Amino acid sequence: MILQAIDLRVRYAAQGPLALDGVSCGIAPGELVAVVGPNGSGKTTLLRGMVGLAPLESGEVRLEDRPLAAWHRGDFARRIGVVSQREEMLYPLRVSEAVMLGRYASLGPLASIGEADRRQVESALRRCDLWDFRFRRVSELSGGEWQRVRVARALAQAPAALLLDEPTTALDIRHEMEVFELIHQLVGEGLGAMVITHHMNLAARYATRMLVLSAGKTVAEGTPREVFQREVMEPVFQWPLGVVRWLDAAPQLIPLRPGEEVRG
Amino acid sequence: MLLAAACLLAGMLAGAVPLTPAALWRGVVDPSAPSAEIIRNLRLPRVFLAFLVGGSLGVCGAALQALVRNPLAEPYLLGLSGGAGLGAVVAIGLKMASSWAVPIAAFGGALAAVALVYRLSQVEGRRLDPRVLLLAGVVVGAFATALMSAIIVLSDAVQLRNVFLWLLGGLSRSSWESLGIFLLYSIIPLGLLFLSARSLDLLVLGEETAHHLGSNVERTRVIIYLATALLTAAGVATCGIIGFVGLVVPHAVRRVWGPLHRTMLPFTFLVSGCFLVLADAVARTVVRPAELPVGVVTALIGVPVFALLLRRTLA
Repeated sequence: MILQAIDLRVRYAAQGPLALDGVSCGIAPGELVAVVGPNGSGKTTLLRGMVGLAPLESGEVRLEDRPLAAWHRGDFARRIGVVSQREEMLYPLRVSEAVMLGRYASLGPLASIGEADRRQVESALRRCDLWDFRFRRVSELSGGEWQRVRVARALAQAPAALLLDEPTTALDIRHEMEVFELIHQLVGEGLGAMVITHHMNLAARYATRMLVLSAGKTVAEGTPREVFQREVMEPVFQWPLGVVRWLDAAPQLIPLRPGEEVRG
Repeated sequence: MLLAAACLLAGMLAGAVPLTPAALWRGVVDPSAPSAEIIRNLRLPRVFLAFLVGGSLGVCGAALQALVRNPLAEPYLLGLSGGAGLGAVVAIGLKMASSWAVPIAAFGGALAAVALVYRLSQVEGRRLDPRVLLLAGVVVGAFATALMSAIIVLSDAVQLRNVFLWLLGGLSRSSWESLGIFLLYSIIPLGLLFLSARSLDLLVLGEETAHHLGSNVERTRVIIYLATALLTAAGVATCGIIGFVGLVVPHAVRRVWGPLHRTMLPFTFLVSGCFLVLADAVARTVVRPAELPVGVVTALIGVPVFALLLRRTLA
């Protein structure tokens, strides 16, 4: 297990409701965990809790079996890369400079950028299909290209696991598939990944394990096939759903119109 | 570097008594030359002080802009200068401090101001709105100025005019002593800010992203607050309140040398230093033999730039 969250409880306001109520989640090498659930179900809070950004009321996060608090920020960032939901750049850098920021966790305040750092950045740029864009300013990029820059920056950290929060919202089909394919490849090479997404059906085709959250609680966990049950998902999303099988045998969730039924 | 040298030279030559380059040279090499007194005891410390204070204010501006993620941030507009001025006036008014200790009182004032600004701009449950922060800075600065005026008027009349002139930002009282005082208090915070260059690159991306990329955001924040407050305090204690240097220069430097702080901070220091030396040269020559406070000159240049930047950031 690379990163492990054990029974996290998070409350943002002192008297407010629990944003996360006893959720556990682990990421192992070569595993793609998809976290799904309705808006406000605690997905982003779970991610924030796992990287030390949410106030834990109880529970524990362990990285490589050491508690989170025992990790130096920089060392943590060299093992866990995060692509958060949104980000805007105030002073636009060039693409290669922006990706180089991923190396900062490995650089002391006085150290200059070395050959190894440049190689790491180059490989991250190439993987994300950004090599030809490296001299462009990020302000000149499309939404999909900017998202790839952020994934490349996280890869430049050379992490053992990658956490992505809705990495494909606002991307068109091609770019969305490219991001999922890239994550799939990386996971095939031994990286651990956690992806928060609303695209349930794509998640079911790529994920090795799924975690379904609702109102801050885990309602189901397991392989896509185990999780995609009508009885489980309908109460979570509060809408009639049908489950069908796609060619590669991944279960797919079809929202039903009033009166519709799925046969067989 | 050449630019810096040229600016320093121009600063040496300009003044109530204009000097030729030849007279300057004689004054430097020959202590008995007629110009030697002016050069050695007035011009030299003044030009060096202007350069160092200008450079420091520029670097403060750049660091604060990264910290609050707003290109309009600057020690003067965020109320740090006002707070520092108030601290210094209180110390002088109560005759508590020797000139070597005034920066400490100013430091206290600057820290109090920044804490107040932060408190005011934290709307319940919402993240810092940069515009509110700026407004809070201006308000706290105005309040500090009002208190300063009250103290000056109520204290004994002999010092009154002097303190008033100093408040407007003046290098006319520069001496080797004030240069020494400034150096004493500025070296460590300047060093800390230069060492934080990479952390500033990350902080500009927002606290959360900086955290993800391995930056210790809380520590960086504290370092920047303390360092900019101390630098501003040292500047205010030695040559009064000088605004807008930290606004104009980082903006221009970023356009030429890019926004990465490892290159941007040193250039900001150099250019800001030159900027204040030249502004001071202008202040000394336009109404010769009288002198304008240099803060007046920087404000005359800075306010239009501020207006332009404001329009662009709100657009």
